[in-house]
Amino acid sequence: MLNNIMIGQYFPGDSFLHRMDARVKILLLLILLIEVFVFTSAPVYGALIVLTFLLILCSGVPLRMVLRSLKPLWWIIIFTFVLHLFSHPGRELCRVWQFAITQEGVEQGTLISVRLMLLIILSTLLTFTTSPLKLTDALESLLSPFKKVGLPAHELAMMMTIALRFIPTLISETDKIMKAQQSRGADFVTGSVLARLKNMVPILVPLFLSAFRRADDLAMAMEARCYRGGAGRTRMKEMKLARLDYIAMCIFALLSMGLGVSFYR
Amino acid sequence: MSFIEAENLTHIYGQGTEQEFTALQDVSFHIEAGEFVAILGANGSGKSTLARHLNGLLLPTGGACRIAGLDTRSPQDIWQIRRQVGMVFQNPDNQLIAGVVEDDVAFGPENLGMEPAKIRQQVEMALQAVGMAEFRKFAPHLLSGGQKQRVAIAGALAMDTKCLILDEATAMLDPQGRREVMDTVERLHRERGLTLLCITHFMDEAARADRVLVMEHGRLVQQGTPAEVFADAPKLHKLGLAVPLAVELAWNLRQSGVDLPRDILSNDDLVAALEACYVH
Amino acid sequence: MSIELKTVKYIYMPKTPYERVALDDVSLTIEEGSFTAIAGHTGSGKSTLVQHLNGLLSPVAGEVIVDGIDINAKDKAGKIKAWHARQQVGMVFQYAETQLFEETIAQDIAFGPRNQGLEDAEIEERVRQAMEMVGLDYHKFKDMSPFALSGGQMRRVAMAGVLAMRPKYLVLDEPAAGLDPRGREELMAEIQRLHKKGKLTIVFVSHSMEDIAKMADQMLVMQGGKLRAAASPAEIFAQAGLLQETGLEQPQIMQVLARLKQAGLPVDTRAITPEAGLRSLREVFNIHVK
Repeated sequence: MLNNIMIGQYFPGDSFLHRMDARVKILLLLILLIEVFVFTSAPVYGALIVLTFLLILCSGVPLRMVLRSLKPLWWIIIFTFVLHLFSHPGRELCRVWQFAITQEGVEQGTLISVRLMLLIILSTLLTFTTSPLKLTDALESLLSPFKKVGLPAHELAMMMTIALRFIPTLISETDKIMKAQQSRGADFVTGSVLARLKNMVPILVPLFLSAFRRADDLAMAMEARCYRGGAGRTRMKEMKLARLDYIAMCIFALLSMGLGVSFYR
Repeated sequence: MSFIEAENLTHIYGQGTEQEFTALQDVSFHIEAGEFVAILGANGSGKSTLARHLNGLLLPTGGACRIAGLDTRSPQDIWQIRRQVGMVFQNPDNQLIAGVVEDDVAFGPENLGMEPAKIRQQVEMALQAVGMAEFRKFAPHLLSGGQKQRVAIAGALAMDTKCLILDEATAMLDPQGRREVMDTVERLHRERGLTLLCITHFMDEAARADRVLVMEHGRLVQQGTPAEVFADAPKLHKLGLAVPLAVELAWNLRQSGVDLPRDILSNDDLVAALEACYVH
Repeated sequence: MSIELKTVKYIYMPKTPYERVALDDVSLTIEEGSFTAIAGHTGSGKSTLVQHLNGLLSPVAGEVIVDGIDINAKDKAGKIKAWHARQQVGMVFQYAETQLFEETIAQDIAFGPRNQGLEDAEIEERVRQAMEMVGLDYHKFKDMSPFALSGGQMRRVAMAGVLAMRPKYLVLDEPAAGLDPRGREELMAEIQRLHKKGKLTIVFVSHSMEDIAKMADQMLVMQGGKLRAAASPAEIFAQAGLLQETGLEQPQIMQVLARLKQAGLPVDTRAITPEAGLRSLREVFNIHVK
């Protein structure tokens, strides 16, 4: 029953979005998100929507899969939209009971909803086109300047690497322990919430014990392979910016300028 | 100077506490470079504790352990020691660190601070040597147990290890995985002169070694060639160990008066000896 | 009485890119009182097969019948009967010691009987008996933490936890995996005792042809999700072609005897255990030597 969980949501491919340096992708995404927040006008949003669709198209990730990432957040989007409908004074369009829907409300609501959707879709696109491993490496590299102020960038990245490596192992382990306890008559499906929580103990205790055992083994194995923290460590896969990344950055800079100019004109 | 020198090696866990437990007691032996040595012993006999001293994962509480002349207790030499003595552990799932095979093999060289181009070269060489080159982009959880252990071996080779310690590395594998791993390490031993230390309770693995050490309750109770050690089948049974089938049959037949040589170790030996005996 | 599989089919992760037929049209019978071994390469479907025996997995087609009752029945009346029928099949997983979780050994073993809704007195009696069956002294061990034991002893506690539910059929997935030779031998002897004295029907998955030859009276050979053969170990080990196709080997003693036969020695190549082999060799040599 735990078989169906996919790790991350990486969609393997060979588009330019896939090939771009993950650090560049993260930085450009951050700037793009800031722009979405700052340039709140209909024409700019129009342009951003077109851009987003172009990017999805280029990435080769099916539109259906990208839209599915909105699914868990539909409620928040609709709720925000409805809230805005009623909360802006202005030209009244119609009345629902004693609340007025105004034109400003409709405009603001649409703008905010589109902003939320762009936010989600663009971030999702990053995780669709970047493997978790590359993402980890990129984060380590981007955070490393902050090492000077005491941020353990290497340790955080190593933790993420190990977590990613062990997720499938722990999933199959959980599955096995659940089956073993089910064979002993354990019931995880019926009963009150409290009873069901209590019934998780026979799974959680063995799972924690095994995780500790694994951590112990792994630490030993890492030490045996000369691991002594991030200092003095090199990497096989160097992250190097290629022409593609420079081109992407140039196009992006021009585009941003265009958006900025059209917003402040 | 031998490659590995253990002098009166003693290890007491939790010294001075209530749970004080002597895991190793006065263990002394030498292993030469290029030797293939098997260490036998029942569970709890101190085999794994011993193995962990040989690359400084554990430090002796008494006696000394030297690798290529370097004392494992000297902190500045420890990385040099670990680089030369690679270790493969029992659970194939708990020793691969990265989410992709080639990244995992690169882990050791990266820790040693090698140049990226050199690491790439080392990883390629190591994966070729264990026959896992075509799996370089695989995630570890998609591999079989035997394949995972071969990746772990590659991880040690990529650091230019001189000696490989298998700490019951085949115990959790199916027969095919066990064969894969043993064939790989024996080939590396033959072709590259890799020093090989196999901690095992599979007797057919021990029978192929140059020398066998037998442990019991933290002590080294016997050492010699496989023929010498296996000659006394009842003694091994008493230590909680089995002997290979050929040895067992030969021992029983000798007891019944069949005149068989004492150095029968493999099925080949046994068949040849029985054939010769029958013709007479 | 028996466990019966009728044209069972199981698909792993259906409707995903990882879809795979894990069991394909498997029909077999495990008679009460038998000692059945399941052999096959890793990935041949052995584990999937045993998980059908107590309903952990339900077939997508076909039926699993325990003592005449369909254990995957969907209708209301059938469901209760199915639950009782499943209780007849105890399952000991590979590395079973990893399922332990209670503070004391007795409590852990009581987990199954408690889930069956038994009275305290009855539970205690069953714990006592189950511990006895796996060779653990009740008074010495009952209040100890299971995690203070050695690996082999922990596995016995896990086995006792299943035995305390009083199954008629005991299914074990590679019960001796990872144990040292003595631990192996003792555990296998215990399982044999459960069969002979405890009158339990045993089904075990094993990679050791030696263990199968020594203990089983029926052998099932799996390959690629299909049941390739079901017969006595002696019959199956005599079929060199079948063994080769399914990636199995004869027990070592048979390999030795076959080569001796080839070399002209009049040995009995039907011997599948070392003891039988030795007997045959003694006969050969008592005539010719001395």
